[in-house]
Amino acid sequence: MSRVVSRRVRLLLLGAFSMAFAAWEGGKPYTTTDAHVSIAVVIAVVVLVALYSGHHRQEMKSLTWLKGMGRSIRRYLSNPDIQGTGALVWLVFFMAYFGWDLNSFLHQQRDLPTLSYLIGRVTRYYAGRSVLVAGWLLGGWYLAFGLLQSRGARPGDGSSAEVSGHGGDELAQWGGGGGVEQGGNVGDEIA
Amino acid sequence: MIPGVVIGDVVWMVIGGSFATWLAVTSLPAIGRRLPNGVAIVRHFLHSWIGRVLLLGAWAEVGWHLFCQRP
Repeated sequence: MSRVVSRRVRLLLLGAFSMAFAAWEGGKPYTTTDAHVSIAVVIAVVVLVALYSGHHRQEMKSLTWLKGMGRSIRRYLSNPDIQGTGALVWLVFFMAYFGWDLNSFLHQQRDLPTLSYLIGRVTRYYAGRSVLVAGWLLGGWYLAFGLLQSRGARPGDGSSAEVSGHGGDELAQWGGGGGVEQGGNVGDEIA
Repeated sequence: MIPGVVIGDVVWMVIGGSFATWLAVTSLPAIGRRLPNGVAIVRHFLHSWIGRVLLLGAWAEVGWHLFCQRP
């Protein structure tokens, strides 16, 4: 019980810190040293926290994951299914974004804006920059803490503290080599 | 063409609109069980260190680019 409360407190503190940082960062123009230093520090902190909290807590080894991806691709090529096709659509979206952004960047023309230029029209204002910084930072915490296993669990033994929730297991079968996620809630990873 | 809207804006609107539609469709419970949604794609990468590091690298690059290099 106290452990659950403690996790909730830590989650609340993390959320409060993120909101406070976003509110402060929103007032810093992108050209200032303050903006550069603060964003660099946040990146370093999130990466270091991810490395520390994720030590021995990944669901599977990287090689196993890569082999699972390879197997899934070979299986899809020989016997296409709807789940693989769905994943392919995501890949097409990524390539469309990346390709068009690269094309716009290389041409450097006024009628071919890059996506970051368009987003810059939003982040030049306090509210826009604050909201985007908040979303970006919360996303970073999710990448650092998401799907971590309980301490002491071995990779691949299915003792994840993360929740499966809607849409959680779809790709475990497609690329990971076995659905290993179990119930819980997102805040549980902050242990 | 709407004044002030250039061809690049239109392409981004098409990509963004299609992306948002696909995101919404795959998030529907009935469809989300059969097609991977956005959350499932991210979670798939979080199963191992290599996927997590790839996402964290992309996240860091996006943050630096958007908040330190662009207006």
